Amino acid sequence: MTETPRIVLFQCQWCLFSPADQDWVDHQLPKNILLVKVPCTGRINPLYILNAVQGGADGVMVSGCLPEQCHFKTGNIGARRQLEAFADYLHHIGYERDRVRFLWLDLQDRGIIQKELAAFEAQIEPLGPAKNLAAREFETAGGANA
Amino acid sequence: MSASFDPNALSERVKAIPGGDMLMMCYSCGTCTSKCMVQTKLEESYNPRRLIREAVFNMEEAAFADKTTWLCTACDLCYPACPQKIHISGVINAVKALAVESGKITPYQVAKVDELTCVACGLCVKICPYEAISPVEKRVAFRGNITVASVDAGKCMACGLCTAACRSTSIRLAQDYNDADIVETLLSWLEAERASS
Repeated sequence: MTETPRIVLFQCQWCLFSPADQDWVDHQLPKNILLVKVPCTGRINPLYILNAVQGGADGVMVSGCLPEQCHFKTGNIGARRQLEAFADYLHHIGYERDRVRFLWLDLQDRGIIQKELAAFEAQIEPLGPAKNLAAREFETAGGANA
Repeated sequence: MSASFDPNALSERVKAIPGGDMLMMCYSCGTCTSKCMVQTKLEESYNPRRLIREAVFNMEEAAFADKTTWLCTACDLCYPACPQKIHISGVINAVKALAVESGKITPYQVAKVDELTCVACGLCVKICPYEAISPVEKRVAFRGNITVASVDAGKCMACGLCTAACRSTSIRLAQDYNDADIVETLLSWLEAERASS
C-alpha cells in the first residue's frame, strides 16, 4: 500500500507551551492528520478513540502534559490510567498496540511534536491500513437505512 | 491605620480565607501574568496581577466580574515564579469563594448532570480535581427521591474529566467540547478521507 496512514491526534489544549508549536499544530498539520483539541487529556472518553478506530483511523496519538504539570491538577493521571488500559484492550481485540501512541510533553519541550508525529507515521506505515476494527462501509443510499 | 480598618473590606475578607492570607505581599511585578497559560492561550484580558490589585484596593464589583476570578484552573505555574511566594491560585480561589458567597455564578460553562440517567455510582465525585461534584438526594421527575450527582457551578472548571469517567454518559459539557461535536468532527473527517482514498 502506498496510502499514507490516517492519524487522529488528540491534543490537550495546554500541553504545547511554545506558541510556534501550537501554531504548527493548529494551521500546518499534514493533510493526513486530524487534530481534535480537548481541554485536558482526561476529557478524552475512550469512546472517542473507539469511534476513531471504527471510522478507519490507522493511528491514534494522544498528546498531553507530564503527570505533575496538568493544567487541571490531576486530569492526565486519570487519562493515563483509563486510556493505556483501553489501548491494551484494543490490542487484545485486534488493533495493534503500536497504532496508539501517548506523548507526554514537558513544558520546556520545543519542537518535539513534529518529530514525534513523523516517527509515529513511520512506525505505523509498515503495518498498513487498519482493517480489523473498522466498521463496515458507511451506509450509502440504498442501504438498510435508506 | 487602625482608623481605616474595615473587617468587611474585600481585602480583609480575602485574607481571612486560607490561601488568601499572603495577598498584601504582592508588589505588582506581573511575573504571574507572564507565566500564565490561560492568558497566552485562552483569554488575553486575563490578568492575575490586576485581580490582586483589585482585591487589595477593595474593588469588590470589579474583582467579582473579572474574568480572572472565574478562569483560573489552579495549574500553579505562577506559584514557583512569584518572587514574593504568594500562592496566587489560592488568592484567586478565595476571591471566587467570596463571589460565590455573594450570589455570583461563573459566566463560563460547567458540567451538566442528566438526572434521568445518573445512577449515583460516584465515579465523577472521585475524579473531579476541584471537588465540585457531590452526591445529593433530591426529587427527580419520573424517578422519585433518589441520589444523583450535583455540580457546584462555583467550583467547576469544565475540564471534562467527569464526562470521560461517567459510565452512563449522564454528565456532559453542553457548549464547547461536547461529545456530539467531537465525534462528528472525527467521523466526518474519516469518512471524507475514506472516500478520497
